[in-house]
Amino acid sequence: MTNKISSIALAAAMGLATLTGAQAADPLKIVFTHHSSASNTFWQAVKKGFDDACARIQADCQMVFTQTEGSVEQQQANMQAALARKPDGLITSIVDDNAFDQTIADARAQGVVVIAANVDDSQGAAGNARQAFIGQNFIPAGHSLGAAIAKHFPESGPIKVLVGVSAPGQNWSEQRAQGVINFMEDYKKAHPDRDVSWDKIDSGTDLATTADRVGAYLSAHPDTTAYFDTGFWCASVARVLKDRGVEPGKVLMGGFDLVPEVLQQMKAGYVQALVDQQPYEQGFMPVMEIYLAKTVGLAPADINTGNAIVTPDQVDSVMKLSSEGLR
Amino acid sequence: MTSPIISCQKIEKWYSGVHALKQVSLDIVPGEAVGLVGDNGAGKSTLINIISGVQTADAGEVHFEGRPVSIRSPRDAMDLGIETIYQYNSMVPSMSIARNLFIGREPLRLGVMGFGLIDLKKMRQESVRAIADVDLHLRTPDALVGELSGGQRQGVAIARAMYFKSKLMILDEPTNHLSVKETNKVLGFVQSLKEQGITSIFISHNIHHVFECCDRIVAMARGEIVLDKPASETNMDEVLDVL
Amino acid sequence: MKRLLKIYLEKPELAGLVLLVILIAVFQVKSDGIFLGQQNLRGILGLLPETGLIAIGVTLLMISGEFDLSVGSVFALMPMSMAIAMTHGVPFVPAMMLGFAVCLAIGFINGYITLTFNIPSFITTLGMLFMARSMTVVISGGFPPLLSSDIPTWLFTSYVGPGELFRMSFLWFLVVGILAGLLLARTNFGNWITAVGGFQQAAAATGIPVKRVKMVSFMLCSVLAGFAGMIQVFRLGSPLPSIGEGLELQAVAAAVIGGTALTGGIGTILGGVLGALLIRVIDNGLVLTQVDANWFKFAVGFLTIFAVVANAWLRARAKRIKVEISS
Repeated sequence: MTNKISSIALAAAMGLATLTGAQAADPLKIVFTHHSSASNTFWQAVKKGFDDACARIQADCQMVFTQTEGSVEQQQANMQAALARKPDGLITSIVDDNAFDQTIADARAQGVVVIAANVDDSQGAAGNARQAFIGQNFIPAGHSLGAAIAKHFPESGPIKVLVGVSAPGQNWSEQRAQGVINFMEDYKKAHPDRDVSWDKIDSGTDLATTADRVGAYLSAHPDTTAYFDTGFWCASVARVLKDRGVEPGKVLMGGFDLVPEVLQQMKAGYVQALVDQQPYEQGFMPVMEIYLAKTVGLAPADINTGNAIVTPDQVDSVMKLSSEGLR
Repeated sequence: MTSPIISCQKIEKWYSGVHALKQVSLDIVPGEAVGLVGDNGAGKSTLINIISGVQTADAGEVHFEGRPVSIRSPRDAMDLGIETIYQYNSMVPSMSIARNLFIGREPLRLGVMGFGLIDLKKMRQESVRAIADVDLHLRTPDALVGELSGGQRQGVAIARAMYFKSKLMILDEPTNHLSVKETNKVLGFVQSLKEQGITSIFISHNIHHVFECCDRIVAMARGEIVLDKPASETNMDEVLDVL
Repeated sequence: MKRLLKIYLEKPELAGLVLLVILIAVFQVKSDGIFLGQQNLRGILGLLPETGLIAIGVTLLMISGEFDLSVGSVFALMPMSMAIAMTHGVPFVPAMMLGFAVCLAIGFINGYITLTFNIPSFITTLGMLFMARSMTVVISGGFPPLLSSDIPTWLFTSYVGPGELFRMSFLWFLVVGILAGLLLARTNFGNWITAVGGFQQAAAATGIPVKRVKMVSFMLCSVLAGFAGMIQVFRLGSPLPSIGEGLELQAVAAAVIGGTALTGGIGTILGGVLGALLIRVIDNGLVLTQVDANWFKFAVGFLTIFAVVANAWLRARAKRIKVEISS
């Protein structure tokens, strides 16, 4: 249902854009704030979508990164500063249920169209004044990932799974982890004869930290069946396994987001499944919805950018698109 | 024989294995100007530090004005009326003359338990007076000590010691790093102390200066007192011999 | 020129003020007048107390001749302790007292170890930086505790004043700043702080209790950092374990930019505040003028070096001019 709306909206927006393109009176001002720093490659794909969309409607666009990866207070400060420019639309990730509520409410009061992208308030529209959410629904995504990796579980023996929560306390990470754990609970119930257990650790949001921490865990628990990362940092764990001489596939790995680093490791055989949340779409669609809201008054709508699973047989075609920043 | 104003009895001090002061005893009567000489490591700085509270003796007693006292900190010494002018002149360069003069014993406009708002007006007024008393005229007490020359800083240090009515003034190599003119001024000042009835201990490397200002010479070497005579009864050669 | 240098010696923060005025003018022009607009000023003044309070504490401690690199961690630890206490049923005010007690304890430990074992405070507080941050995450158990909605955070967050320009936190900040300035310039204790930092030997020789002065300075610094963190958490609504990361270096930079000497004995509270304001202005101005926000760190670093070099040079020049005497 939502996908259908999204394609209609896209068509309408493109149509309108081409019709009214050269005639844009005052270019729309759109600001995108989020919680990541420039060293996070995922956001480069989002930025490409954002910039492409803005070019099409000839809007004046700005995406503000934070200094410290994941810093909520820096994002909030950026948001406040950006709003002083009186933009027409604000796109933002909402990684904390409280920190942005007031600022977003103020923005709405000023008539700014506010759309949440990439991460939503955990209570959705009930928890925040944002008008729509465009992004991945995390819990179902985590569940799907669990299912995809479980296909590779060994026929017999205990199943020991490690879930790496990249950013404890932040919605997106906690919910993805929860989705995986929900799946593991279902699996356990469905297979009462198997010894199924799982562990959770704070795995970190950069390649070096995750490699360190998960590497240490795996040293202590060499019989781990699978490792789930709530982001793409399992790519560095793959390197650790390679350095230790562990063959690909011995420890199953699953993660989120199709950045080049992790696609490489999937090609090498270390990562069995990845969930794509289509970052390009997360940058592109909100711009279009703001455009439609401001020109024809169309109320912004939620779009689930999907929890499609990418498996090794699709890697080549995906890698090409990923390096262009399109997926 | 008048009773001594300060009496050090059998003072001992060890530094990491070195016996810096070996049973040193020294009595000084009020109004005396004692010159303390000795080479580096002789122990004179250590003895002075003990009297002024910067260091504590490992053994021995100190009596002041007839009573046994325990000098555990510079504050104790200052409370007794012992003021010290150090080589490095113990002035904080980044602070004004007025603040430096009263440092550690600032007059309070209102305070409780030793903590409170300082009376800057009084500090400024008194500083000007105190400095004038030692014949040093500075434009403003708000000037930073760091802006003064070495001699002027010593002048302020001396003014400080005088202002707090010291009974015993210790001058530890006060003319180091001073110009000839400034040195003479300081020496003249040390001589005037006697007239004001202030007991003084004057330490210097320069034997000429010591003979000029003091009426008693005490020489130390290797932690002991090796000579203790009135200046009139000895001469420079004798002193140099024992060192 | 001589007169200017004289004034500079007595008031080193004036150089920082000049820089501030120049930067404000530049940003005002480049942002088409938005910078000094009411909305933006509200934003800046709303955030300033948080970094400003830390800067005050760090400035005070630096004047006494010591450093505290753990302020960023204490910034997060104090509100976290408070929040955890409240989830265990401790009422608001006692929980706040508990938080401050934690700060006092950390300041005490910082001072005690530095002074007893004669280690550079840089090192002691560097270790404490890691320990306190770790403690914050550990006691949070990975999930930031929820702040209940009936606590009187309005005391620190609501807007007051003409045009609702200031938050209550700004008033607290003003009061603390004035008290700290008074402490330093008008009390005997303040005299001792300057003396201890300016020439410790001399301070000891004139009877000042050096250890006590430094201990109090350490503890004051930690309390102010904790207070600042508490204000930020009240404003954002969530006691996140990661807030304040990197703030310690910003605080030192602020102090130095405001004219505080690294060796101690020189500096004013006003200078530290001006330094914090300068950094905030840069952060905000870069977003408003749509300059790549990654230049922020470059700007702060450049300014710090520039300020230290300029201050040292000015001081050296001023010293060579002797005061006039008539003798």
